Amino acid sequence: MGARVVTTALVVTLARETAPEAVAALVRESRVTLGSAAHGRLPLVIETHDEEEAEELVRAIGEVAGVAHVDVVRIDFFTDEETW
Amino acid sequence: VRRRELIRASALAAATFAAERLARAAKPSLPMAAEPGVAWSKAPCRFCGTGCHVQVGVSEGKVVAVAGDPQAEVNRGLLCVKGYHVGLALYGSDRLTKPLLREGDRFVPISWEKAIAIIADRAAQDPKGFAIYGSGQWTIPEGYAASKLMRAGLGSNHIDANARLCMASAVTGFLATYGVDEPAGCYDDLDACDVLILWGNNPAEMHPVLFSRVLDRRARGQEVLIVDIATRATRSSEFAQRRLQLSPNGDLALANGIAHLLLERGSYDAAFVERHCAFRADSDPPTLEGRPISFDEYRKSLAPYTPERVQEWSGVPADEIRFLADLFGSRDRRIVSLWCMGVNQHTQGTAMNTLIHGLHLLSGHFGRPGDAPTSLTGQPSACGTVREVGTLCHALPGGRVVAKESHRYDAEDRWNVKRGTIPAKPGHHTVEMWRRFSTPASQGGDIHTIWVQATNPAQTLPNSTALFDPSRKLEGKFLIVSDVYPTATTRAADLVLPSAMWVEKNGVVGNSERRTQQWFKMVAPPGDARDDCWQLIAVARALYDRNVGMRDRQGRFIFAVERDGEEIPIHDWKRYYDVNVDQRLFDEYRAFTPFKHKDLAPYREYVAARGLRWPVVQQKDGSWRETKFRFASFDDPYAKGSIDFYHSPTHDGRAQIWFRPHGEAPERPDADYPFWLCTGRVLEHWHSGTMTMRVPPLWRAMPRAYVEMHALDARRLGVRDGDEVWLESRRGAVQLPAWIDGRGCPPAGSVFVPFFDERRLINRVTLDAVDPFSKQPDYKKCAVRIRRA
Repeated sequence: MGARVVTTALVVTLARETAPEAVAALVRESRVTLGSAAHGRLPLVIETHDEEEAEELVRAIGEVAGVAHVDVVRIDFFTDEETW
Repeated sequence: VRRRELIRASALAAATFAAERLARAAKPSLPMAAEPGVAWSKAPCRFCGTGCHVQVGVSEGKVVAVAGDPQAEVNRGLLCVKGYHVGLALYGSDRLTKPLLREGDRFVPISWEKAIAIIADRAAQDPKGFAIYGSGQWTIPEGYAASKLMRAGLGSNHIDANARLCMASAVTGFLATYGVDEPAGCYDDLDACDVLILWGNNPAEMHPVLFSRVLDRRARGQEVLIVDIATRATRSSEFAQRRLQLSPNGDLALANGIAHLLLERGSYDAAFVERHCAFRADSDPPTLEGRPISFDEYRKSLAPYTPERVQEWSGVPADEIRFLADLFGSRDRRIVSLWCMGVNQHTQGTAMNTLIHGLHLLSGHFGRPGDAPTSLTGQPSACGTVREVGTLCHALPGGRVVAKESHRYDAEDRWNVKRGTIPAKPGHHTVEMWRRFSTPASQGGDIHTIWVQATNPAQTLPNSTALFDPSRKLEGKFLIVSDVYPTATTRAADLVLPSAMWVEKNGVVGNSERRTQQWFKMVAPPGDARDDCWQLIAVARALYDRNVGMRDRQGRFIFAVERDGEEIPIHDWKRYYDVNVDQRLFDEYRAFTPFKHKDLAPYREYVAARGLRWPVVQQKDGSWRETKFRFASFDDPYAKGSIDFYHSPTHDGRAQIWFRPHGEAPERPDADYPFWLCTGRVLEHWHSGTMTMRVPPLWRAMPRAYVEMHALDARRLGVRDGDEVWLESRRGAVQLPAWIDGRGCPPAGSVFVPFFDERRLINRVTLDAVDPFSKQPDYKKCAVRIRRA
């Protein structure tokens, strides 16, 4: 059985003044895949081993300088490496 | 490309879609990304009354993903922390999967046939003592089937629903003001208002997606003034520019104080009042209709409510009362009032509901987008099933009431049952039903059996030590519970039935803004769990077979369903899904709805839509149009002139502005019980926690109930953060850990306890005093004392 992966889709609302710093910080996080920011909203996906790790990472993203707000828009549960 | 990469790409597309929607506050043109092996379908969220739509991803018979639905107007692709975990609520490890019968101290599995026979025998032996206690979590077809079973089938009005405990006072408030239930406005008002007034309401935790809609406007640079009027600081307070600390039971005085200033300053909307309003006050004896009064009498009644006097009653500083009067007196700012349990769970709940409506009417803040008094609900179909279908003990479908002969006759004709089948006397309301169940038959306890579906009264009834516990020791009392997980109520039951939940069955529900929403079954329920609606129909059929009611005028089974001239035996579980029973029941119920201009479209129209707000009226081209703003002729097809209260209690197109005096709370803190207790909910858990406590991320975030205390009180009692304390009232006691200056900040002299935790039953402590009109109990105010455990 392969490792379980929880895929979570987020929308990050960027603070106007410090948006570039926020994006730069998020790029450095290996569990994050960034989409294209538009109108101060940055879509991204995080991949973690379980929901607990996802919660912690969402919290951490919310605390990144330049991140005003984080909305979770989708969670894929019950996916594991073996079925991929 | 590996599947993992596809899921990542699909998730990123969903996030991009939602980001676009958020940024522009409009539907983007991007399609949902396809994902191999996962079938996506729409459903409303299972939890609160907001009515967010989710996209549910199913693979190999299991819900594997949940996404906010970007096509949905309600939530625009977003969900709250409960919503995006809603899929996990299906998969707790202890789902009920077999009917269970109590034998002494244990439960034994039995067959469905035996379970249905036991219920039918209980009902048959004395139909007048058999009651159903349902739920705002019932779907519309479930509630309709239950109502039809009881009223048309059994000739009894002993059916009530848990929504009695959360929004009955909103119903009586709407009826007393407009002559018809439910809000005139809708969530679109939140996009247009300049001022949002929260009356004892905490939407940041209870309706977070709606609240984020307002905060999002701020993020886009729009100005929205949030005024928080509450007896304790909450998460919503953090976002409010004005925070008004209200004394418990001070709300009526405050509303009267605002009205007093509007009249004194002449800043009320005289033209609106002249054209559209009349005035009323309580009658003797009190009735929901009250008595008419003149404008001068109204003004005279308000004379004592000067800012300084109201400050004494309400705790709100006189200058802040003047500030609120300034807001209402200004016509160029649009105002939405939001309220929920803080106003409704109140022994003067009906009165306070009418006063909020009255402030909007008096000031003319009504009938324009962004100008609306809007009550919210806590359950997914408190409006659709309880209020519209009419599953309260006095009600019939579509706004009819049992007390009116013409309404009964109309219902009997539509159900094709004999004249006189439906009793004219309302059944027992919730508190009375359970009081009678907990009273010996020899002492007036005329309810011998209650069948509970989709709710948890052992945990949620007020003063449960008096209303619930005694029944479990009385001879001849039999409790049946249909639910999905073991609960405080199933553990005390005599017979437990395992139910299908949410996307394990078809469903239709109605949310807080009159939006009716439909979904299809997507996965199979576990084990032998079955739909609540099937359970009701199976029992009805068993009664029919015993020759106990359930017959129409031609002697046919009242739930008979035909297809191509052949009867489909839907009471047989194996045949239940041969037809879409939901569609049959919904379309039958739909015929009741135009009576109060709550017109619903045919079932098929809801299949494609993300809900439609009633009245839904067919256009000349055959399409169906929903209504966002009732009583305003620019949108409501039934309104004539600019504003038309076409169900006016005075039958003259006028809404009623009530005078309701400030009164005393039924119980106040004293030397023996010196603290006010307020109870309520938290962001992470929904209602009694039976579903959300089984979702690991949610229980980890909020694992147990607590008592929130002010630091000064804690210091005085020698209580440290986390210490266990006993919280006692004159009715019962519960042990809880103290949380000092935690999430909410109750002022000194008051405490707050959430009710989600079945291990710490706060309703052993609460008061069962009810509002005289709505019969809704007060969960927000009683007297308690605290001592270290």
